[in-house]
Amino acid sequence: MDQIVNRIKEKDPEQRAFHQAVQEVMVTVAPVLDRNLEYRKQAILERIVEPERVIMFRVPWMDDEGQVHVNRGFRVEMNSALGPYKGGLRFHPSVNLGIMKFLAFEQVFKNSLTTLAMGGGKGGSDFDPKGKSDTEVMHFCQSFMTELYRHIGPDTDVPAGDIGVGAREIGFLFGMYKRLKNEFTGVLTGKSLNWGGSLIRPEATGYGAVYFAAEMLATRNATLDGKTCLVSGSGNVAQFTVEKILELGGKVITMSDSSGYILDEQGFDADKLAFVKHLKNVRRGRMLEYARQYKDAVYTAVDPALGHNPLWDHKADCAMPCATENEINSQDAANLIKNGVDLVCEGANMPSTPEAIDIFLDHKLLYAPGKAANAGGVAVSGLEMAQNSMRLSWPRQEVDKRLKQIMKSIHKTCLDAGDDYGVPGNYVAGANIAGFVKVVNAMLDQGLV
Amino acid sequence: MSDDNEKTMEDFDPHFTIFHELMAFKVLNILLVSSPYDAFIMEEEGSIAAQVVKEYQGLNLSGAPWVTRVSSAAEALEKIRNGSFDLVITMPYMSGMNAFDLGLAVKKIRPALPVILIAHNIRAISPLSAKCDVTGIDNIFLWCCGSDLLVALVKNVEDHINVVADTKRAMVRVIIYIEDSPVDRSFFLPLIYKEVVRQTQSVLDESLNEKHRLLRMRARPKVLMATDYEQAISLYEAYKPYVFGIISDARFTRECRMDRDAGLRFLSHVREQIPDLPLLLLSSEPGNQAKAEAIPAVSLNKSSPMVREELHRFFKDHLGFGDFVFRLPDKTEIGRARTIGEFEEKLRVIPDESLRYHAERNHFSNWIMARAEIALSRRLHKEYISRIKKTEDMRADLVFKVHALRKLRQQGVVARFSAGSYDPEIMDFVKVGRGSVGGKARGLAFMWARLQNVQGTVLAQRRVTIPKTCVIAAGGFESFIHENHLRFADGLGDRDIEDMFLRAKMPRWLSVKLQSYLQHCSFPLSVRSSSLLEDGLFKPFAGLYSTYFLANNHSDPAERLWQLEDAVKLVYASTWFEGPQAFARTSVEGHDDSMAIIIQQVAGERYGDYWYPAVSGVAQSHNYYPVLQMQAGEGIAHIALGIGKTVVEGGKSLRFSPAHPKKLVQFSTVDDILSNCQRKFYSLDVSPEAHFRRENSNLVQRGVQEAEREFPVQALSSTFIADEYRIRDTFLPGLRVMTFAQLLKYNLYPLPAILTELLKVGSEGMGCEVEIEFAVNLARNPAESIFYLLQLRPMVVGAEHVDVRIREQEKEQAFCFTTMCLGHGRFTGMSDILFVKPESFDPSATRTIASEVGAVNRRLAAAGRPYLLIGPGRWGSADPWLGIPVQWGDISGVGAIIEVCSERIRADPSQGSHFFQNITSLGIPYLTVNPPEEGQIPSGGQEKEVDRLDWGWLLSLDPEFDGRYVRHVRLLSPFVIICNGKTSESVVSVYSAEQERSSLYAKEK
Repeated sequence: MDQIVNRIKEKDPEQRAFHQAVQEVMVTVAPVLDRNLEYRKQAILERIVEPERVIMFRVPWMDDEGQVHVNRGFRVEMNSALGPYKGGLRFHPSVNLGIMKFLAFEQVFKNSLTTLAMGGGKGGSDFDPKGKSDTEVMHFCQSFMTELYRHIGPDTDVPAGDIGVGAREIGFLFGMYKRLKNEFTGVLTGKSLNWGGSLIRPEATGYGAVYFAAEMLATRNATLDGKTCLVSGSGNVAQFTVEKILELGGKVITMSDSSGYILDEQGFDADKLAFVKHLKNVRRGRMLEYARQYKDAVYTAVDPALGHNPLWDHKADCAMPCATENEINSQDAANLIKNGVDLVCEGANMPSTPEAIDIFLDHKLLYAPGKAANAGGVAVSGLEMAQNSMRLSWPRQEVDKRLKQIMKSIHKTCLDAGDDYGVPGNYVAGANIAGFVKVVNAMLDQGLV
Repeated sequence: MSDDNEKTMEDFDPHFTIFHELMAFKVLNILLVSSPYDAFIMEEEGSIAAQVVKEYQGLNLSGAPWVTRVSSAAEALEKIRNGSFDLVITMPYMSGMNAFDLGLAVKKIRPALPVILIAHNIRAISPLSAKCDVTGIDNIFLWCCGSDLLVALVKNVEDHINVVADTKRAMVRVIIYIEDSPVDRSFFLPLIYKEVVRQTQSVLDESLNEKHRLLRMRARPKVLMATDYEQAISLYEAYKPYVFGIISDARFTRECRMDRDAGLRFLSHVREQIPDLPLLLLSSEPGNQAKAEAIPAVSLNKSSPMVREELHRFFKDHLGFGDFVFRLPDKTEIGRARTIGEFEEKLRVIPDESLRYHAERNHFSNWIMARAEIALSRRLHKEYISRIKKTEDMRADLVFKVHALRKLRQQGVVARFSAGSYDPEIMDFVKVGRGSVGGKARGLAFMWARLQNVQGTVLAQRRVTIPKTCVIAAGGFESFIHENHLRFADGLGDRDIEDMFLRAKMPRWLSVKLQSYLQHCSFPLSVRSSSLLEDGLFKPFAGLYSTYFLANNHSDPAERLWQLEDAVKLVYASTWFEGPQAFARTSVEGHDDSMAIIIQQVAGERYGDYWYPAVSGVAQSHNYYPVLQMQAGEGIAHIALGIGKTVVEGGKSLRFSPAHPKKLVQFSTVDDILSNCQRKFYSLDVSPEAHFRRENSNLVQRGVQEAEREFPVQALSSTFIADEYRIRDTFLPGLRVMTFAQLLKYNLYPLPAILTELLKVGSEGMGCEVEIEFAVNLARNPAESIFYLLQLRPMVVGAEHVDVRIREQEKEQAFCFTTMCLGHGRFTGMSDILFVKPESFDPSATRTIASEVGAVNRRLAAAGRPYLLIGPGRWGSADPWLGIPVQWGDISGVGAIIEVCSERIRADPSQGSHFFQNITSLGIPYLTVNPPEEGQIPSGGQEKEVDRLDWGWLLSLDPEFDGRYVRHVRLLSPFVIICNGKTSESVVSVYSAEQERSSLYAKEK
């Protein structure tokens, strides 16, 4: 494995992000490689780290003042062993080939975990949408698609949105694709609802994390009903996490923002959650106002001098960090365990530090890494593709039901992989292994291509 | 009306300023040459000089000439050679020579100097010998009737000299008077002038201010005198477009022979060409009356004892002087109008038959002409008016034109407030009391005047105006303080000062004026300061004084007055608040401020129980944070929904460059928009039960979502569609997001273009960069929208902006020099520097670096120590490979930021775009250092200055904190950052206190 890493460093010394990503995956899948000699023999690692295809192209466009600009476009089609390439498009000045390969590489395994038929890819451009007018963004997107359309399709490569590519950009890209190809197909996800987008997208990550948590509890013959939960954050993911927990009978006693957190021992209910949604989404206020509205709630401001987050220091059954990176450190982990928490399910990306994760695993906590638990967003992307293929638009309940099913599958996949490889109940290892194994087995099945 | 009239109309500038050039020649020095005896006769009622002064005073004229009397020709000629005289008046005989010879001698010395002969006795001047050479005498009069003759002949001399210029410049009207008899003209000329002057003065009461009064006097009709037929014809032909009346004797010389019908011939000749010109024949022959009527012309008997009254009636009835008397066709009087305002009122209501009667006889045109309103007079001429068949259309046309003139007359003018004549419909800017109007009012009045002259721009195509404004001049403040014996005392808190002022009584004269003003105003009012120290160049008091808003709709007028008075008192009180006092101590060395008050109509419309404008904002002509494609000289604007308190106090508003309104840096993504858009706005509670509150300037803060049913929100907001996570620029069910997309993207109303033009006009006018405050009433039909200019001030904020020139010595001494900076000013008070150590920097560890930075920031912020942050790459970059991915919370205590371009992070400079909203609202300088690599010539060639940062010096300093990746150092004395927003250069230097003072002193010199 070191040789493989060194080789890619020699080949592309400036792609440092890609080197790091490969190195991290190699470490986590070492047990798999040790067990399956065939993978070495078939040079599966050498193959998996090389994109199936890299498309790099010129994107000229004209600004509102008539000045011509030239940007560079990318589409890294990393792996299609499980299905058409799937991954977002990112418009940001930081985009370069190394970044794209790194993101595409991670996407392969993320998509694999969803159990849906999706390969992995990533694309984008070094175009900076900041300060551009709608017309300029449209001109750019149209120019971008005049090249990309040759390489994508509903059964080939299905891009989505990412940093700098939202519903507006997806619309412009799709419009140009439709014009060029003279077909209306599900070639992009993240579309608007009135022309092929899927419902439940904003809720997907939060709902998905709760479904995953429910599955984890089910392994211990438990449910969320009656469980007391600590939730951090108050953004999109946190709001829908709380909503789903309440629906499943759980009790949420905390929410937070960057200024502090609320402890409501009586628990959030539908009205209180509605208040938080209005406070955050409409008024863009602070959680402090919740304590002014509901006098029994206690607000605690962030204290930078403290070495931990006191939100995690309350008696509860479950913890669902939905705020930000590195919000649970080793002391927080210790506090959670001390307070009786036996499930940590990540709604955010990498909210637990490596030290905290070690503590969870050592104490045999039910710990779900974000990689698996917050795959709901990716899952709904896959559901959008499915709806487009059938020329159907499922109602909310249908999408939700399918989302739940997918999260169940993801959970089982992770669990089985952990069992298979001698780390039962280790969802971290299970997620990494499951994602990897599924892809490499498909690659082997499909021959040396 | 002739074609010449048409052509000259186009060049005619109807506004006041031009009239300063009228009557350029004035008789200031008269040389009176008379024997002592003649002088004795003339001085029966006092010295000539005194009599002249008395006559001038009697006619309310200014600038009476100085009279120098000499008694001999020799003395006279000596005086003329050595002195400066404008007119010579001579008696027939004096020591040395006769008047005619004297006249010739004077003309040899000064050919253009007028010489007038006045005799006491008719025999001295009639008949004249055929050998007598009269060419040295310009005119002859008889001293028969008093010193008013002197005034008349002085005015006549002036008129003859000024007529060419005055008619060309301002189409001043002309009366031609033909009279060959010195006796008769000595009698009639003073009468004619008295009529002209008194009539002119009688319309002065209608005038708006001193400037306008002066204008009207200078534009009075000129009287041109002729003594024979040929001279009369010559004057008539020369000034035909301007003649508005002719007064003629019947008998005078024609073709060198006396012609008893010369006057009739002349009047007939004129009548053939101008059928409606008022003509008067002065004749003592009875048979001439019928001949005159046949022309037709009016006829007066010269010898009649009632000739004065009849002449007065001629002026009133035929030349339009005096009141306009509305009559029915049977001559029954049904009404009168003394002023143009009353004239307009009556036009709306008089019976149709009266309207048509006067229109067809040109009465309207004549009356208006007498008031020097030439352009309007032409438009009311019966030629045009009587073509309108329907009387109601004629009435509408007349009223419209008269109203338009009244409005035009006061545009750009600060008029004196008078209870009797105030008309809020046409008077936009009035002044109460004496003294200065203060900085704000001055700036506003200046811009208002400038706006009248913008042609061919968007400012002329759209309704751009000021709100109705009434200024209480500084005299009001002085009266208030003096009458209430108020004394400033140290240690009084602001609230105590307010209470003290509220207990004091408003001066009675001011209270009466305010009460009278309120009777005409039913719209909401703002009451704000216009301090004498405010808004003067380089005297930045902006924002230190209070402003209050009043609904002004209470059913009890006494309550409305009380609220207004309280608001005025509270604004007065703010001069003694700690803030302004402290600022005054530092900036103007103890100069006491006085205070004028601006009472202004609050721009806006009523929406339910609230009043507010659709848009309000501030725009500046120079942008010190020109990122991306912005250019500094294109300016910058901030806008918000509702009353402008949001913007002025730094609340969430939308920042855009008027030159690039579609490019909004802080609205680039959905998340940016949701984070940065305005959520609340200020409005005025105009419900019947609304009370006046001191807090929040008496405004109410409401949520944008709460007002989503109101037109401005519907028109200017977009909708956030949560299911799609996108923002649509239409009004749909969902979260309201104030994007102002309809204005900035879809040009519903040309706000960017208006701001660009206004800033240009303002900065050119003031000779410096300017800032304007404005509001827009958006109408459902955008063409009916109104842009209100609320304030104009020089763009100087804070003493540190006084001088930011960077000298060569400062560049050399600095530890950092850059050619790319955002911000403007001189920033001191920082001693702490937090930097990413270059030798240990690892691009893969940027997240860890961000954590270290955050930890130090928390300590420094808690200690209240702003600091300079230095590091590679793009601060705040979402991508950790391109810079340090700090959130604003990690650097919230920063005072200045340096972004160092590094070869280890290949990224374009961010120009602070990640924290754009924060750094611009907090005025944090953002420097980019891009040193060339070794051996590389910087773009721009060797001549371009090179960015540099002295890492060696930084690393040599003892650290306060030394982490794995970052180091915090603290200097013994503060360093100085100078950012020149004009050149984009910046230096960071360490100064000692002495160096700092001497540097500032050198710059002040």
